[in-house]
Formats: sequence, C-alpha cells, structure tokens
Amino acid sequence: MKSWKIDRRTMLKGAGGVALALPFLDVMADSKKGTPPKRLACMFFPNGVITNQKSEWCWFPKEQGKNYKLNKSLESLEPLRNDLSIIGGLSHPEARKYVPHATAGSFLTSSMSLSHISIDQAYAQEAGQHTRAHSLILSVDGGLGSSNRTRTISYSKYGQPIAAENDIHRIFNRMFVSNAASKKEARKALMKKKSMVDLILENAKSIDRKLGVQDKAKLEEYLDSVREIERRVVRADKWLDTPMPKVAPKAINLKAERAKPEDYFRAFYDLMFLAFQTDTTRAATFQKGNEGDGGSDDIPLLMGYPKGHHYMSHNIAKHIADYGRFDQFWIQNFSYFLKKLKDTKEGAANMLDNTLVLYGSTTSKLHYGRNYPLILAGGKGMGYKHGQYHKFDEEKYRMSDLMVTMQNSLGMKAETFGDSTKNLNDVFLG
Amino acid sequence: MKKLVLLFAALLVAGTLSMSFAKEPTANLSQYKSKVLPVINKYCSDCHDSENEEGGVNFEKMNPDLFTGQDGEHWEEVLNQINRGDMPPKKKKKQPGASEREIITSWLQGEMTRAAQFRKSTGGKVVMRRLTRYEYNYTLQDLLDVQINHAKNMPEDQSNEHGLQNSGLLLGINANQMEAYLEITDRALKKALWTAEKPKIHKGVIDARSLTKNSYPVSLGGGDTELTAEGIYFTPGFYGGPNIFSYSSNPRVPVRISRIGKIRISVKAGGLPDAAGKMPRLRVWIGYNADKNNWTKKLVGEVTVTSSPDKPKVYEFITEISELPLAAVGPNKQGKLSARPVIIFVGQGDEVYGDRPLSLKRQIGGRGLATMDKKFQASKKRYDVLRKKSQHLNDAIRKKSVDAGKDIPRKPLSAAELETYKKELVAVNKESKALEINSEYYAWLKNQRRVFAVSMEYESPYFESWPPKARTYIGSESAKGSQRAQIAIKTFAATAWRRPVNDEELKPYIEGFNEFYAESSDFDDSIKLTMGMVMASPNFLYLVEPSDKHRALSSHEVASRLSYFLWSSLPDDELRKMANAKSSLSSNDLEDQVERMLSDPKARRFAKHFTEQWLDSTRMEGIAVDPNFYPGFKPETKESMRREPIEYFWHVLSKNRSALEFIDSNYAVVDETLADHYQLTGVSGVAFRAVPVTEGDHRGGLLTMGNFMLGNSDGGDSNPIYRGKWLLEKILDEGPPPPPPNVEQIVDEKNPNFDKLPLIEQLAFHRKEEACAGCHNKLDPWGLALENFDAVGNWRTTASLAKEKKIAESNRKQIKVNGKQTFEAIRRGLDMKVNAVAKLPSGHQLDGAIELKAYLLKHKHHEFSEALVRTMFAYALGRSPEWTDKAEIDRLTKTFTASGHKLNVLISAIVNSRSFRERYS
Repeated sequence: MKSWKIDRRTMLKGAGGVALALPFLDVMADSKKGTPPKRLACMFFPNGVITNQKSEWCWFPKEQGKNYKLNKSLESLEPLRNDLSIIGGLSHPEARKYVPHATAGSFLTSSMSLSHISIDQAYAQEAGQHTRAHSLILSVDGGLGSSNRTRTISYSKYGQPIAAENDIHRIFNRMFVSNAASKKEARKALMKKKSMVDLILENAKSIDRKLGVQDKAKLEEYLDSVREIERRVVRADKWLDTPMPKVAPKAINLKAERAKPEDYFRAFYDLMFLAFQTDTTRAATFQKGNEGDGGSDDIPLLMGYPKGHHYMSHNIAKHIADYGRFDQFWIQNFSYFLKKLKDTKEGAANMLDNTLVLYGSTTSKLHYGRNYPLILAGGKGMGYKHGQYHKFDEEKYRMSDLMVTMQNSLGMKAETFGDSTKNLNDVFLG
Repeated sequence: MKKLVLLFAALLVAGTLSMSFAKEPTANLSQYKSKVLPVINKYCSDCHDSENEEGGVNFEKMNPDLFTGQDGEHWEEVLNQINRGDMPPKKKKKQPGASEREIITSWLQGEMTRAAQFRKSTGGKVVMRRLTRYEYNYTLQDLLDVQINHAKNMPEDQSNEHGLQNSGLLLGINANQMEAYLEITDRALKKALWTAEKPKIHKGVIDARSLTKNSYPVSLGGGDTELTAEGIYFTPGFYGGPNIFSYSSNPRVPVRISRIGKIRISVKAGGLPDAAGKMPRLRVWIGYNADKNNWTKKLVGEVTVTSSPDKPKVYEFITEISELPLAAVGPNKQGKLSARPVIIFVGQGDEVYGDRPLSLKRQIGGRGLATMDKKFQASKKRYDVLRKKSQHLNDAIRKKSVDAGKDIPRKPLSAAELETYKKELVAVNKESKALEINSEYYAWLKNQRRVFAVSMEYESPYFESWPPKARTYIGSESAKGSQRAQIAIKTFAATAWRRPVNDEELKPYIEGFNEFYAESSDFDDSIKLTMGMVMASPNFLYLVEPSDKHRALSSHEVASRLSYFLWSSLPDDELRKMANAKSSLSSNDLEDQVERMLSDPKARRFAKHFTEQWLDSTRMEGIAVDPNFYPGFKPETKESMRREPIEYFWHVLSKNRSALEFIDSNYAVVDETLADHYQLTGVSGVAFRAVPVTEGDHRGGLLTMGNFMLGNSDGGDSNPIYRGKWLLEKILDEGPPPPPPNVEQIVDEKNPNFDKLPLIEQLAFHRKEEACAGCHNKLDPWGLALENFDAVGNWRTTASLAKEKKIAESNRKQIKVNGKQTFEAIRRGLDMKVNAVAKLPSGHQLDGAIELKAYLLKHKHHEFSEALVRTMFAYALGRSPEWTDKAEIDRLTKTFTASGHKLNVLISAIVNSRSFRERYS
C-alpha cells in the first residue's frame, strides 16, 4: 500500500514526478498562429415535425435546390440560408426497424445495438486531448434515460451511453469559475478518487497471481478501466492549475430556468457558444427533449400550449398550429446560436465557419423513422458549400453517408462511419 | 465470434496437453481411412474438395483427428447436417444408403464422445465473468436491502449468439462503467446505512368516513367517486383514464413522509363485482401536484380486491420512495426550503373502453348502496308518474280539450289554460329527461365492478427491523474507530465477496479506512467509503474462481454459481452457512439447496431472465402495435403479453409440469387483460393463473403467444420469415443460415409490381427460385404454419394484403365510410383468406398451428429438449456450450427426458454435473 504514503503533490505530477506538458497552452499557441480549431455541435429534437405539404407548418420546403422557400417553422433561418443546408430523405436503416421514439440513441451513432461510438465522441477522441473538457454533453433532462427513451445522444467507443448534463450553473462554474475553495474541494475529490483507484489496483494484485490465461485477460481489462480513471484524475488535476478562461458573467443568463423556456434554451446554446469561444471543448451535443418520457416533454405546457410535445405529435391534426409554433420556437433559439457564432469574428472569418453544426431528429412524422428532418450548418472554413435543400433517395443514401463527410471535413481519418456505404463529399464539400 | 472461439480452443490445446491422464487415448484414424473416407469420397467430395470447397467445407483439408486437430466444430456440423438429412442435398441423384450414412455418423459420434472426454480439461471453460447488469442490481438489493433499481442508468449487456447476456467472454468493462459503479455504490450505501440513531417515523391514518363532501373527495381522470357514510366507492375509468381519488392534496390532511427509505401504505378496502363476476383492481400511486392541473405520479402497486364492501380487508404496499416522483425541494416565497406535499393516490385501475352513459356526478350519490337503491327506486316511480302526466298533457294540448269524465264530452281549454298546459309539459319533460339519464347511468353503474375504500394508513420511513440490514455489517455502535472498522470490513467483505477473506487481502482496506478516518473523523462516512471500495473490487464485480489448473470448486464457489444461476444474486445466509461448514458440497446438499432455492420467491428472477434470454421475449417491447390495424388494442395488453412467457415458464417450473408443455398444453397462463385479449372467459384479476383451453381457443404452449407473434411482426401484419427464424433458433436451436451478404434483392422480372405484392406471395416466389430456395425453404414453412395469428396474436381466418394496405394508407384521408373515416372498414373490404399450409424441409406437409405443434411433439421433441438443455447449461455456466460438451449435454438430455421433461430435474442434473462443480483451466 505504498501509494498512500507518497506525497500528494508528487503523485499528481504523474509517474516519475515529471509534470506533463499542458496541452491547453499548445492550443492557445495554435490559434495565435491563425489556425482556429475545428468544432462540432450536434442538436437533437424529439417526436419529429409536420410533413404535410399542404400545411404552412410543413417543416420541409416544397422546392429542392437553391430556390426553396422556408416555411413558417424555419423562417427564422432566412438570414442564414447561405450558411446552411436543409436535408431530407436520409435515415439510419437499422433504426427504421424500431419505434422511432426508441431511436434517439442512434442519431449520432447510426446503431441501435449499443455498439458504436457517436460522431461527437469520435471527434472528441482526437480534439478532446487539447482542451480542458473532452466534450460537452447537454440535454434538457440530463442523465441517460432508459435505452428506449434516451436522455443523451452521446455514446462511448464501446457504444455505451454517456450521461448528459443539465445543470447550467454547475457546468458554467466548472468551466469558467475558479475560486480557491472550489479548487480545494475539487482537488480533495480527486485525491479521494485517486486513493480509491490505488486501493483497487492494490487489491487486484492479490487475485492476479492465481489466474489462468483467459481470466488474466479479463482482469487486465478491469485494470485498464481503473487505470483510465487514474489518468482522468491526473489530467483533471493538471487543468486545476491552469488558469480558467475569463468569461463576462452577463454572457449567459445563469438564472435561466425551465419555467421560462426561451431563456432556458438560449442558456444551453450560450454554454455551448462560450465553451467553443474559450476553446474549453470542441465537441458538444445537446438533446432538446426526450421522446415523451415526462420531464422536458412538458415544456410546451409551461409556454401555455394545451398539451405536452409528445401528446401533440400524436394528435397532430388537432394541434397542428401548436406543434408548428413550438417547432418554430425551437428553430428560433437554434438560429440564435448560429447567428451568435456568425457574428463572432475569428481570424479572417467567423466562428460559424469553423464550427460544423448538425440539427435534426430520428423521426420525420409520428412513428415514421425515415426522411429525418436535418439541417447541416456552418463549416465553410472546412469547405462546406451551403444554400440548398437536398432531398436524397432513401434507397441509395443513409444518414451515416453524411456523417462520413462530416468526419472528413473535421480532419478525422476514418473513411466510414457506422453502416455508411459512401460519402456525400461531392454534394457538400466544394 | 466463431473465429475467436476457435482461437481460444487452439490456445487451450497448446496450454494443457501436459495435463496427465491415466492413459492418453488417441484418435481412431484407421477406421476413418478404411471405412469413412471412402463414403465421403463417393458422396461428398465432388462439392467439398479443394477445387470446389462449397460452403467452405473441404474434406481434403479437414483434420480427422478430433483429439488434437482443430476441426472439431466442422466435424460436428458435418454430423448435424447428415443427421438432419440436409446433406447430401436432396436434389443429388447419388444418395448414400442408411448403412453408409451410419458409417460416417457412428464413427463421428464415437470419436466426439471419446475426444470430449480426452479434452475435458480444455472444453468446459468458464471465464471469470463480470456480473450482468441485472445480477449487479439484485446483488445490491439483497446485500444492502435497498430495493431500488440500482443499475437503471447502466447500459444493457451484450448478448451472445444464443441471446444469453451472462456470457463471461462478452461481459466487458470500461472506465465509464467503473465510474458508474463507484457512483452507484456510493449512493446505495448512503441509502442503506442510515444513521446510528433510528430516524423519526411518520405515521398517519386517513379515514374516508371522516371526509366530507365539501372538503373532499376530489375526482380526477374522468371517473366518478362516490362518498358514502361507509367509505368511498370508485368506478372504472373512462377511455383508459384511471379513476383516482387522492387522499392528501387537501392541505388539511398533510402527509409527512421521508424522502428516503421505504414507505408502507395499507389500504382497507373491499369491492363489488361487475355483471360478469369480475372483481375490481385497487391501485396506489405516489406523486405530487406540480401546478394547477399538472399531476405527476407513478404506480406503486395494484391488487385485485377479493373482499366484499361489508368485510373489507387490508391491502399492503411497500416501496422505495426514491423510485417515485417527488417534488423538488426549493426556496418558497419566504425563502425557506420546501417542496410541494407528497400525495398518496388511492383508486381503481380498471378501465372502460367504448360508450357508456354520461355520468351525472353526485346526483345519485347518497349515503351507501342501500340508499342509492332506494333513491333509484324512488326516481323510477317518479319517472313513471311523469311519463303518464306528460302523455296526458300532450293529449290535451293536441286536442285542445281535457277529459271531463265518463260519458261526458271533453272540456275545451281556454287560450290561457292551454298556455299553462304547455308550460307544464315543458317542465314535466325536462324532469323526466333528467331522470331518464339518471336511471340509465345507474343501470350502467350497477353492472360495473367498483373498489370500495375505507381508510388508508402510511408509515415512512418504514423499517422491517432496526438496525437496517446494511448497518448490521458494521458492528456495535458502542465500539469505536479502527477496531470496529476491522471487524466491519471483514464481515462485509466476506458477504460481498461471497467467500471467507484473509487479513492479508483486507490490509489495503483497513489502511484506506484509517486514512479516510484520520481526515474526517467521521466513522460512518469513512466506513461507507471503504465499503464502496470493497464493492469496487473484482472479487465483488466478478465471479472469481482463481485457478491455473483443473480442480474441484470450493463450496463457496459452487454456492455462488448456484445462487447466480437460480437467484441472479449472491448466496443468502443459509447457503453461506452451509458453504462455511463444509469444504465441498455433496450431491444431496446441492439437491436440497436447489429444491429450497426454487421455492423461494427469488427464483422468479430465474424464470424472468432465463425466459427473456432464451426466447428473446423482450423483442416485442420495441415494436409498436399499428393502431390503424388494431384500433382497440390496449396498452396494458402489451405489458401482459410481455409477462406471459415468463409466467408460463414459472408455472411449468413451479408446478412441476412437463417442459413439452412449452410446445403444447391444454391450458394457458393468463391474467384478466390477456384473457380478454384472447377471448378466454371467466378470468378475473391481475394475477396470472393457468386456465383450461380447448382447441377452439387456439392457445396452449409458447408458439402462439401474443408476445412472439408481435415480436416477430412489424406491428401491422405477421412476418413468416421472422417467425420461422425464431422457431428454428429458439425452439429447435437450429440456427438458420445467415442472410447472404451483398445479395441484390431478387425479384420476379415478369412481374413489374413484384415489390408491391403481399409478403407471403413474394416469399412463395423466393421458395421457387433456386438461389433463394435453400434458405427460404428452411425458414418460411415454420412461420407460414402460424399465419392464422395476426401481429398481436389474435386468431384470424382472413388477412389484409400488404399492397392494398399501402394504397389504403395513402388514401385513407379521402375515404369515408358512412360519413365516418374508418381505416378499419377500408381494410375489411380488402382482406384475403389465410393460408397456413406449409411444406417442411423434411417434405412433411401440415396445415396450421395445431398440426405444427403435433408435428413438433412427434418428430422434434428430442431436438427441442436438447435445445432447452443446451441453453440452460449455457445460462448456468455463463459460457457458450462447445462441441466438447456434447457428451455432457447428451447425458443431461437423457436424464431430463427420462424424468418426463421436468425442469427441476434438469436444474439439479446441471448443478450436479462436473462442468458445474469443477473448474478447468
């Protein structure tokens, strides 16, 4: 039980007492040289949209190509039309077999079998090494939810869901507020965790000696997971000593609460914006609601709508205008985010040009898991050409084909994603 | 996966050849060369040689030495194919005779049995396995007595090719999961340990008889409640909306409860049956009133009331409060922390679908049923009087005169009189109309089942005993500090790790405790952290059987295997005591334990998890029933369907029935909801029970259960391929060939509308095409024989056409039937007759489910038994059966069959097998 006696400062400097270089500073150097980081933000909304072409609330435009007209729910995107593409016809074939309410987890993974990493996490594997936070995973409800009503859209490389956060104040404090007490608290918590990890590793040794070949492999896998926690502790400790970025308190409404949905959704977007602006992270996801599992589903009620979101989607004929107006509201706060990115200069361009944004759902209309309503925005600095409504043939193209293009543009090496069969580089990358 | 298994097999051979056997047997290669090879050359080699290598099988390359060679699995497949008559293919003219087949099969059978024994030390390999998600949950529940779903935020475990989730090879772990374990145990221990002092217990009784009409009751959800002098009567809810009576949102009866721990709720209630004699169900929910019309609540439990209103009984509900929705604590207007009050809802769970008369709330309501009856009689009398009066007035108004007496001319009415008469008629009609509705409603109500509640009592937090279970591990409260911790850690680790522990391995934990304690001086907090560490150890998270050589398992290791097999959790006190007392457990010990453990309620976990994994019975949860096709389908039917196979398995197991009843039986195991769905009469209540069925009921056995019909459908119509595949895989364990990769969909080029044809017609075409026939002929027939069952498992003789379905769907907005838009009506016009005739791969032709079941029982009972044995063997051991297990599985199958297919005999035989009691390295 040696590690108990090691001086704490020594231990936290890492093996051999050599402090690791602070990657954050490298990044700062990078951006000074004029190569801003590439970022990825993905937003999901539940229960689908209105697809009846006769309705003024139809989500998809009538016309394909450049000269499409944005219908009422999307109209706030008009000033941004050259920074985004509306996409129809894509979906995940595997998810089509399930009730779409159960498929939010497939949105960024293309998989229903909990076996694939989500695209944000795949990107964060590389990009997250340079930032204080590996990634930022948000959802209005927080947590994991159940496997058929998820409350997160991010999945680890083992295909396991990663819990989303929804405590705006807490996230803000963690990312931007430094005070001696909280730092001390954090260090204490890390120490406790480190002690636990040491103990676990110590205990495992006594088992190790007596095992056969296969069991040793199992134990090794276990120890790997514990060592990974150890690495996380060490890394977290490093960042503890790196000064926090300074953010003006009025950059976000920290008092925003669910009872005032407009403020509340904006606060989530502001968090993402600030995290990107300060290069605290480069990968973020945000689930705007769950598929009718209480919680965020009631937000329309708080805004005076007669019913919850899921209920309205099931009774669309009766609630078409309400459902449309709520969708319009969701798009308005999405436009707010895009506009904020666009209005922020970065090098010769703006932040939106260096941020790839995906917005959509795995349901088009009630219980119909095809023709996902999707918007791909930003990323002009990565080569995107925008301004059109693309309607793809679902027999030939899948959503994962689009995700390959996203990967390519972000500079990731893999040439496939999930069940992809091709890429859509020709369509989106100039 | 297959590759991996082979690789492991290779590794094992290399590693264990040095194991000494009394006499090392060798392969019988001479017989192979002289007898077997010539037959192979004659019938098989033109396809399976180096040149053609069809199906990847090449006899020139296959090593006939089953003892040291690595083609064992291929040879087993050869044996299976020949045994099943699949090889050589039927279309080949040159067919081996029975004696020639026998030459190959008997040689293979003999070699495999001998080789299996020889290689026993290499097969039967149990990998140190992590507890599955559900095992982890039950283990925490049993260890700490905190009955919440601890693992609800953990991801599902991957299942292996047989659908089993407890396969050691597949149960992985990673850092996120490890962090989750740390958090879960921390939370669980906080809930489990409580404090040295017993917390204050809140108790209360609310008697319905003391409530008044003005203060209460409040009726929510569309039903009617009736407050009488004796108590409250509920009625069934309307359109799925339960009828709820809430006892406590009234500020005058605040319910104080603890936000942690268990709560006990006792309701004194009776019930009235409906016209069919069915008794009502009592439900209890807990929740809160978020704002004016926004109620959040969750069901605590339900029970069918069996007592009558004049002899009410007490029904008890115990639950963990943290599993229920409670209002968040926050600052109130005065800035003090508070939360909206907890509400205990008591009500009736039955629902009424379809039409029912308008309720006229409280118009009938009187004091007690007798009064209500009296009132009803009175109003009926009054109604009759009014009708007569109305007739009289009508008559007078029409004739503008009134009857003046016998033989006297009618007396004419003046204009003013006429006006009065008219006014009177309006009033009379109004009153009689109201009474008409009233009596109609009352007549309806008389036919409903109704819960009658007298009082409700609660206790929170509720302890069965004090101190709580988790606190008993940490010893006497009077002992202090490090010494107490030493005993506490040892006691706890021995239970959690399911074996005796030595001081050496506990040293890090004691040092850890001392460190925590030195820092915080808080014993509870420090011991909690240390207990968390004990629960993060591989000794807790895994079933560890340290061994680098072949050995018998210790009594504790066998006890653990046994309790994870039958209880999905750690051994209880009795099992642990037995393991402590003996170094090894005898066959008798094990048999006694199996008997005891199977009669414990925890054995229901085995029924649940084994059934779900064996039969893939949870698949249907993800399939939405299409309301266009099944407009009357009730959500609760799906829940009952989910449970049906589990309850059926439990029935067969606990009532010691023959497992062949999984194929067919003269009973069904249903609750009231499912009985209604299947149109079985005379079933009342929420409990599942066996009810006799006849041929005309179309029930009995697993095959026709709604669960599997829905699970193997698209929610709208049946899918014979899915059904066939399910039957082959699950019932007969004959995995169908995997779908060929990258094959373009084959269509009938002569028919441009091929893809619009109904699925069954497309399938018929595929069975004729040679490229598709191989698989479709094996798969489709098993499903086609079940065509009489629609996607929700109901019997049908007509089915809708897939093509027409689509057209109807796209047109349904325009089509109106009798001025009413009903898809159902459109569909009916487009139905076709169901054809359930199927030609099996063996050439046998059968028609419908009854013949299918009879065929399976007559010709496939052995395959079924072996499949069940193999799956249970794999479940018991946490690993896939390998070909080296063949001898053991054959033996188990024989025992099982000889017992009359009794599951408890099979379980005992598995537990007593060498594979279960020994460990091979």
